[in-house]
Formats: sequence, C-alpha cells, structure tokens
Amino acid sequence: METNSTRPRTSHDPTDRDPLDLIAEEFAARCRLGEKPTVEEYLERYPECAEELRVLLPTVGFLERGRSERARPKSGEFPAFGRLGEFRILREVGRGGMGIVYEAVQESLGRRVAVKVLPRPLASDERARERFLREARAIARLEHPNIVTIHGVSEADGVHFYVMELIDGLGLDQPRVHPKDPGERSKWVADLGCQAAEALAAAHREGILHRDVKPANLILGKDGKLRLADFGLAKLADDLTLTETGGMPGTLRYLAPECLDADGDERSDLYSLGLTLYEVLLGRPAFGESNRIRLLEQVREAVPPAPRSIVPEIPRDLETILLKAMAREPEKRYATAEDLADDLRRFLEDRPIRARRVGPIDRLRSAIRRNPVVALLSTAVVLLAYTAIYFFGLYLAAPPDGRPGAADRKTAKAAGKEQGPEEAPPDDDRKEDDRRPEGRGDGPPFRKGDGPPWNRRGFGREGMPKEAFGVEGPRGPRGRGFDGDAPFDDPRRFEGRGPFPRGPRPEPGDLGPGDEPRHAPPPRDFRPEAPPAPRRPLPPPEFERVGPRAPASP
Amino acid sequence: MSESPDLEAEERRLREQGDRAALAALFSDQEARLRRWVEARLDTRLAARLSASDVVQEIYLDAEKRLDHFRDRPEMPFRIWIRLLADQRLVDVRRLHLGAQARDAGREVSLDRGRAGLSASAAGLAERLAGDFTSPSRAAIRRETLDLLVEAIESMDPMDREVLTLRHFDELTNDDVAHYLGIPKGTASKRYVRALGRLREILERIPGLMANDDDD
Repeated sequence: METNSTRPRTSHDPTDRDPLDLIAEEFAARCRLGEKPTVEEYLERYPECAEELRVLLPTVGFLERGRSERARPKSGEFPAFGRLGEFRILREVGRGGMGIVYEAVQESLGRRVAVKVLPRPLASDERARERFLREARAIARLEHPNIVTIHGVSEADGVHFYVMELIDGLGLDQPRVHPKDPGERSKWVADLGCQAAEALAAAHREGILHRDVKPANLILGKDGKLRLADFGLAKLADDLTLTETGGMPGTLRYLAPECLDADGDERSDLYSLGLTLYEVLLGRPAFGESNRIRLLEQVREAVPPAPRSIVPEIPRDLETILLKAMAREPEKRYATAEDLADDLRRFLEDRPIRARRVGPIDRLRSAIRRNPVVALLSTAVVLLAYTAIYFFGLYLAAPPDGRPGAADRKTAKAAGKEQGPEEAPPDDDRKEDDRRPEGRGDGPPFRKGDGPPWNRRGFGREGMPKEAFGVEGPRGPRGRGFDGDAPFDDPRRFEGRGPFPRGPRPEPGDLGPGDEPRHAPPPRDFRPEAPPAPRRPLPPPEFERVGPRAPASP
Repeated sequence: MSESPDLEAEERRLREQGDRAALAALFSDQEARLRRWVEARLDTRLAARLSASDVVQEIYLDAEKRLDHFRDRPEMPFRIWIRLLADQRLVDVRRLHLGAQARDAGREVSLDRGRAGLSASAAGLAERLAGDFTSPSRAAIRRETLDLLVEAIESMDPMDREVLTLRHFDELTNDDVAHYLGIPKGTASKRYVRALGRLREILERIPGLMANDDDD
C-alpha cells in the first residue's frame, strides 16, 4: 500500500476517502473536460506525496485518454487508409450506421466503384466470418435494374468491405425537389414505390431479405431510376460487430413491430417500404420521435395518422395501398412484394386496386391483441351504448299497435352491426344515423380538459381507440358524427362517432356491477324491463402496471 | 456524475409516483453509458449474436417491470439501480444463449446486496486501454502489445480491475462505486488508489506503452 501519513489534507473531503483518490479524481475530471493537466503541476501542488503522484497520475491520464479516443466517432477507424487492397480510395461519399461509403478506383480494371467498409469484425470468430462471406456472396448474386449491383465482397487488412456500382444520385432522405402538387407527388411516390417493390420482389425470390429499407437506402439516380442499396447488410453487420454500430436509431424508425421480438420475413420489408413511402409522400416520418426509448414505444404501439388526414388531396387508393403495406400485423399486409408492386402499378394506371380498406372490426381485433384492457374497456362502452340505442330504438320503433315486425327488424340490424358493420349496406347506416340525433346531446358536453387516460402523460401514447375506430373508411359507421377536421389525436374524432353519445368516457370504475349505463343518453322513457347492462364486461387488467396510473380494477 | 435538477425531479417523480415518463427520461439520460456498460460486460461469445443495443432495450423493459423494486429502495440512486438491472439482464442473456456452458459463470445476482457477480472482462479493459487501433496516436500499439496487455490485466485482482473500470470507463464516482459494490466508501477509495498503483506496474512491464503515452 502506498498510503502513508504524508497525505495532503483536502478541505472538501467529506468522507474517509484516500486523499490520493481525490487528487486523481480531479485530474481525471479535468481530462474529461478536454484539458491537458500536467503531472508536474500536481507535483508542485502536492509535494508531500509527489512520489505517489508521479506513479498514479500518468496512469490516470492513460486511462482517460483511452476514454476520449473511444468517445470519437467509430468511423474514425477507416478513413486513414488511402488504399484497400487493389482499391484506391478517392473520397468519402456518405456514411451511415452500417459503415462508410467511399468512391474508389479499382486499379486492376480501371473503373470507379463505391466501396462500403463494414464495421470491424470479430476477428477471432471464424464462424461468423465465414457466414458473413457466404451471405455476402449470395447478396452479390442479386441482379436487378433496381438493385445496386454488388461487384463483390472482400477483405483487406482485417477490414471487410463491399464493392458496389457507383451511382450518380441521392438517397431519398436527402432534401430534394419533390413535386409540390399532391396529385403529381402521389404518382411520383407510387412510381418510386413500385420500383422499390419490384427490387424487393426479386430479392425475396432469392430468399434474401433487405432488413433495412429506409429512405437513405433508396437511391434515386440522375437517370430517374430508383435503386435499392444495402441488401441484407443490416443483418450481416449485426452478425459481425462486437460493438454498437450506431445504425440502430435510423433503422428502428422503419422497423416492423414484429422484428422487435422475432426475425421478421418478407412482409417486414414491405412494412419498412410502406413507412418509407409514407415519409417521402408526406415529408415527415411516420414515427418522428427522436428519443430512442419513446421511438421504441412508437414502433411497438403507435399507428401513424392516415396520409389523407394530413394531406386530404392524396388519392384514397394510394392511401389504402400504403396503409395495407404498413399494417401492423404481417398477415394484413401484402403477401408479397410483387403484390404491392402490382397494386401500385394499378394505381398509376388508374385501374382499380386490389387492396381493401380495413374495417373497424379488424382494427378492434388488432387493438385487443395489443392492449387488451383498453380495448375491452372501449368495447364495453360501445356495447353499452349499442344496448342503450337498441332499446331506445325499440321504444321509438314500437308502433302503437305493437306489431312485432318492426322490433324484429331492429334486432337483426343491431346484431348485424355488432358483428360487422362494414358489411352493412350504406342505407342501413344512414337510417340508424337518422335516429341518432335524438339520442345525442343529452349527455354532458365533451370538455377539452377531460382527456381520456391514454392521452395522459405516462400512458402509452397511442391508446386503442384510434385503431379501434380507425382513421376513416368508405364503409361502415365511420363518417357519422365524424369530425373530419379535428386533429387526429383529438378525442372528438372518435367521441362523436358511432351511436354512442357524446359525453365523458366512463372510467373503468364506472362499469361496476349493476351500474346503469349512465353515459348513454337517458331515453325519455327508458323501459324498466330492459335487461341490465352487461355486468363486469372487463376482466381485471392482466398486464402488470405500476404506479397510480394503473387502471383501477372494478 | 452530478445530475441536473431536472433529472433529480424526474428521479423523485419516478420514486414517488412510478411515472413511466420519468423512467423514460432517466433512462434516456443513462442510455449511452449503459450501452458502454453492456458492451464491456457482454460475454464475448455472445457479442456476435447480440448487439449491446438489444440488451439495453431489454433492460428498459426490465426496468418497467421492476419499478416497484426501485421505489422500495429510497437509498439507491437510479443510475446504480439501472446498472444492477443491467447486470441481471446480462446474466440472463448469457444463460439463455449459452445454456450449460454458462453455469460456471452465471451466478445469481442479488440486487439487494449490491455486488453483481459480473465484471468487465480483461479483454474489454485492455481493448479500452489500448484505445482505437487505427487511430493515429495508438498506431504503435499492435496486436502483440494488446495480447500482452490482456494477459497482464487478466493477472490483476478482478476487484481492482472492476474498480478501475467503474471509475474511468463508466465514470462512476467513488460513492457510486461503493454503492454498486456494496462496500464502504473509504474502502472503495483505498481500493481505487491501490488498483491504480498495480495497473501502473503492469503498464510499465509492457514495452512502448507508457512511452507512447508520454510523447503527446
């Protein structure tokens, strides 16, 4: 032990810490601030322990300098070479999480190429290296006019790199002149999407997934042709690297939700392409959160606003195609990239598209899967409201002479509604709608401050109702009482929709046993013989929540 | 590691109300460091399969699930608690992926006792010390030197290694180190000074290392 009695006494020492520790700490702190404290300075300040400091401080400096070099961008590893094997590096043309792209000259052939240097591999893992080379060669075999041609993959000085066709163009993430007119722009995006989907289709036929479709990887050449770059690189780089490549945040933004837990498949690529086209079309990402953790939540749970709710001039068919491509559940997406390309082509040629808009039942089902408690709660509210409307309807429809026919028809209708409103012919909707004004307006008016729980801080931002009642669609009960111009997050968008009345949404506690559906409009003469509202429509919340915001159990 | 008043408020909110937004804010603040923490401790056999970011994401999910644990421990700073969770996650990850191979190393982590049973690997520390191979100032350090360094660092007392890593790479304060290791502050401090002395001895035995350090 170097400790001895000649230690300096430092006034700010609140504990029994070793004084040398305090000096070392200060030295380290200064290094971290970017200063270059000298050992000599400290020897003068603390001559009584100069001997120890002469040993310790250079070590601290060594430790701290290693640190500051690590803090530099990882990309600092590569540019110094000037040469990689037979490739003479000319200049850097771009960099991303996955590596840096250089323009280079392949000297043996005298041609210009792009060289993409991958993160430093785990040199010791022979198997990982073999797998890398095998997969890289498979990718290099892909040939398609819309895929950046890979000439080969190589290794020099322990650095792995791809040699690719050099393209005169820009990634779609770069600011550029988009057509301003929404109609033209829609066609333009559809055309780009069609080319990208065809490229994906070709790769998928070879069993290769892209895994990192995003605007930056869609390169629009000066010739107007779109090319997809970086096939399968995300996975390769992942397999190869020991450390974080820094590519995750960009990738995460376009990641299909199922890829958070599993490997994903062709449809995951389609989802990413859908999000990419959405962003290019609207000039804003579907998930714009810059904080990684909140972005993760968006990827996991959020549903972006429908394009037409942002730019109403966007053709409905294009919106339908995009929403299908970026459906949260893989089975709701296009089955293949070919199908997506086909539908985009139909749109471009003004032919009827194949995609159908998603009905509210589908959205409800998927919402239940994601967030059972909120979804079931909302369903319960809807059912309560339907029950109320139904009996109210009975009351209205019952002719004075008590003919049974009218009531039977209503029963059938109400039952049909609960099963699949989107299948109901539009006339039916309108008829029910006509009845509704009498029922609405009786409840307390909606107050702005009365946000539903899912809009409060700390609650999953994207609660279920948006998906359950959806954006809008051509069929079904949507459109009635629809505040088309309300912002998407505005609760009014679903508040007035469907036959349940305006009024504050019930809290879970309001649905206790025997509780009358007091949020339903009290009909002028509610029949006492009406069956009671469904009791305990909710199972107790099953997911584990902590804190006071947990939904109260009934 | 002084914290901004904002973060202190968030930490209070997290402890008192279990506020998920506060958790997100605190976690975001620690995220980069946590990733380095994980990188340094992730089993090298797993590194090819698993990125540190994946593990960090899982730690966040763990934190959500185990918030009550944090709220029950008023004396534990969030940054320490989240590292203990990280250690637990690392053990789980190792067990999951390596199965029986991991039995020797995969001890149960007790979040209460503070000591996590995991330490930064010797190779990790050596690599960090050597800095970036291809960066100009470290160009002189070659593979052989690194191997020597790893070997030397492996011979160090694991606790010394750990203390140095915590202080210099994870930038924990002495108090944090004491908390994390579950030892008195004075002991942590002495341990650190002693570890610095031992590291110096090791570095001097490797030709060219400290010399390289001195000329800039």
